[in-house]
Amino acid sequence: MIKTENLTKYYGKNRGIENLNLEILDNEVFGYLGPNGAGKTTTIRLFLDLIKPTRGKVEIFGKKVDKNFWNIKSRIGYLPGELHLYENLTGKEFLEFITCLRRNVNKKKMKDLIDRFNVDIFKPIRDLSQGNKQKIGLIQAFIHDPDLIILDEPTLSLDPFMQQEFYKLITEEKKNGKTFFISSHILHEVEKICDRVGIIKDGKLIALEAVKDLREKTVREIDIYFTEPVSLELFSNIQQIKDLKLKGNIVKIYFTGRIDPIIKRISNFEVENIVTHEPTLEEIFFKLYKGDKDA
Amino acid sequence: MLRNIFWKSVRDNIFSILLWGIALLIFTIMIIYIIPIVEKEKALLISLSKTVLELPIIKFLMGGQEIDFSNPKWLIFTKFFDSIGPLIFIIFSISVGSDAIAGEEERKTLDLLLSNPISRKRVVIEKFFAITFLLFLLIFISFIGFFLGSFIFSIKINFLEILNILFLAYLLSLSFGSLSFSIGCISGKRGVSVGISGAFAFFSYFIYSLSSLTEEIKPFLKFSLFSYYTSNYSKFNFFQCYCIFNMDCFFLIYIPIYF
Repeated sequence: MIKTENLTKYYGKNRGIENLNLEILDNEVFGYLGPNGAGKTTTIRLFLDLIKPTRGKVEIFGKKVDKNFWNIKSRIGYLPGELHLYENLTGKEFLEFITCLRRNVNKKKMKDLIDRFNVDIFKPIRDLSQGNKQKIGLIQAFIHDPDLIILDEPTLSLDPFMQQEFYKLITEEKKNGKTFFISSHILHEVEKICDRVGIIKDGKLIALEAVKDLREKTVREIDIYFTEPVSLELFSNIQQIKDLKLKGNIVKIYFTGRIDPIIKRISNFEVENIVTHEPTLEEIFFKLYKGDKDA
Repeated sequence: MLRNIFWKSVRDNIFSILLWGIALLIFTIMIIYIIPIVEKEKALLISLSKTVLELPIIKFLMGGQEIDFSNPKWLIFTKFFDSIGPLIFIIFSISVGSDAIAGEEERKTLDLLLSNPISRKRVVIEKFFAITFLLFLLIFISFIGFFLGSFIFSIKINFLEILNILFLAYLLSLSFGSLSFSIGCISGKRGVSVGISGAFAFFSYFIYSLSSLTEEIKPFLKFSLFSYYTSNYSKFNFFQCYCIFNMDCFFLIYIPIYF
């Protein structure tokens, strides 16, 4: 679906991305992870021919992305990271304008999406909250039933309920054969909806993993607050546990993979509280890849 | 009005054209209103022209043209179309031209627009035609103003002359509009676009005005767009139109290069 070869972009002397070699398969939900400034948006803008590469090339649907690529865009849906809509239009007018530009809009789908995201399209866009603007941005990315959907930080500003609705939409569209390229820096979002992830740092792709492999490798942290003192022996022979610390009645456990064996082991004890710490993307990068790089 | 980029751009400027249009309408009607007053004070003004208006600085400020108070109608039109008229059209044209692409870039709406199945060439062409249309509207409103003024104050004016002058003013201001549009495309910055085209317009007018005061400036006159837009309005000059139109096209050459 998408293939890049040594894709490189420099802004003058500043690095955008360097030698990106990536292949996104058909009907895949691909998560593109990286901290701010890593080169995620640059990659997406290169995919859409919004900027020209310094060297290397991109192919989408088997066709090279160049100045003649514009007619292929009818098969692509796009949500920019920093979404800026025409503030002087209402949501309805904006969607009508996009409909006129795309011509292949599925009006029924548009109506369904408006209902689904519950957005007031009759208000001027300048009067909408950032969350509602994001909803309109998402709607316009899907209304023409594209085969490939490129989303840059799609859940930014969406409330948790709408985030769930968005995840459902992705799952449904995937079943309909669509391919997704989603840029994000929210790990649990990527874990939830993506099949594979690429991790970009300082403009370079440092890892390409299936989500389940990443989940297996990720070291998570959990604090279990017991009502009375326990011995660390309680957690012996649990393969997932990488490290343990005891402080009073609190046991801090570092583990990888599934949490199920730990929960089963404590089921006979009285527990006051369980606190989990979701590792940040930075922590995962550091733990998983720093060592590899140093080696 | 949202069928395509052309109509969207026109729609975006409706409020602005309305305000500019009302101001121009009032202004043009006022010019017609002043004619009888100037005619009444002709003797005084002729004596004044022999003293104060002979001063170089005054001549420069009046666009470098000889001032003839014996024909007030001619005087008013000449002064309007030599300085204030084109100035209004040029300011409008530069502001709309610079906003067309550079404004979208600065407001960060260009990415979303270009992610649609439309070529960059189409975006540029439709935006440019929107500028030409908006400027045409403004020129048309001026004509309506003159027409209304002559009707209200019962003053006979030659509308063919007015049309001729307005057409030249249209081409002249469109040149500066095209320049600001092109610079906006290349730089993506409205400020740069307004700055360069504004400076070009200023120097163009400066050379044109100064050339009447000193012979040394005359060789540079060909670089001033105003020299192709003279006050000989009584008959249609194909050469003038051709020169200014060529300038419009010249500025547009940059756009395909950029895209």
